[in-house]
Amino acid sequence: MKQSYLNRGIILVLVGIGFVLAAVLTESAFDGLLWGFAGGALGPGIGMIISHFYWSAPKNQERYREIQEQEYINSHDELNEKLRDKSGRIAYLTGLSIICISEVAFSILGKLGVITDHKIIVLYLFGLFVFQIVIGNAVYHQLRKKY
Amino acid sequence: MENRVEKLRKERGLNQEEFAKAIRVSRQTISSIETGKYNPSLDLAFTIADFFGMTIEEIFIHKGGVNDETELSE
Repeated sequence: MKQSYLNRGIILVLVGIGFVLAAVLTESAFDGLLWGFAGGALGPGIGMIISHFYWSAPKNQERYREIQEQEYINSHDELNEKLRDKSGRIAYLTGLSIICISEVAFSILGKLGVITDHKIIVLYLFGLFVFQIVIGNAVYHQLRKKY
Repeated sequence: MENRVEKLRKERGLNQEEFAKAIRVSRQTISSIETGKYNPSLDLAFTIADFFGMTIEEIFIHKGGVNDETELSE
């Protein structure tokens, strides 16, 4: 297994320790967030270090090569890529529809007095809707320039 | 597009898993190509043709193209 994988694990553990220290040594409203970051860095970091030593053991080398090959196939397989692209497109369009429906739903709930401050939610959803369309078109045109 | 992939693979005594491994694609891709649900890219078509030591035209039969005589005669 590559040395860089171990290095990344060590860096993540160090970052996690940094967040733990920050959470313990400071009194702030962001303690929960700091603990969350600490867990988010320590967990994967420790996992990476353990898996590095596990897969670097001579008895696991062959199995590791097989897993690597399978991962390569899964990530480069053209049918998988096509399906991922297609599912991304469907998820994008579904997301846009849900944003539109949510805007209407929050407007109605706001007007009926079920929720207060609905305007900020509706404005946020409208902004998100516009952003999605703009970024979708921008990326599309950027990609077209490359071909 | 029709193809002879399944026939050629079986002639060589390979199952889908072995064939997929040999050309570094998933077994599902092979299955989809053989059943005609998926047409491979030009790159993969060349890889398959190279594997069988044939040309693309000998394995993949494109119907309905601009020069397709069966289409024109209808």
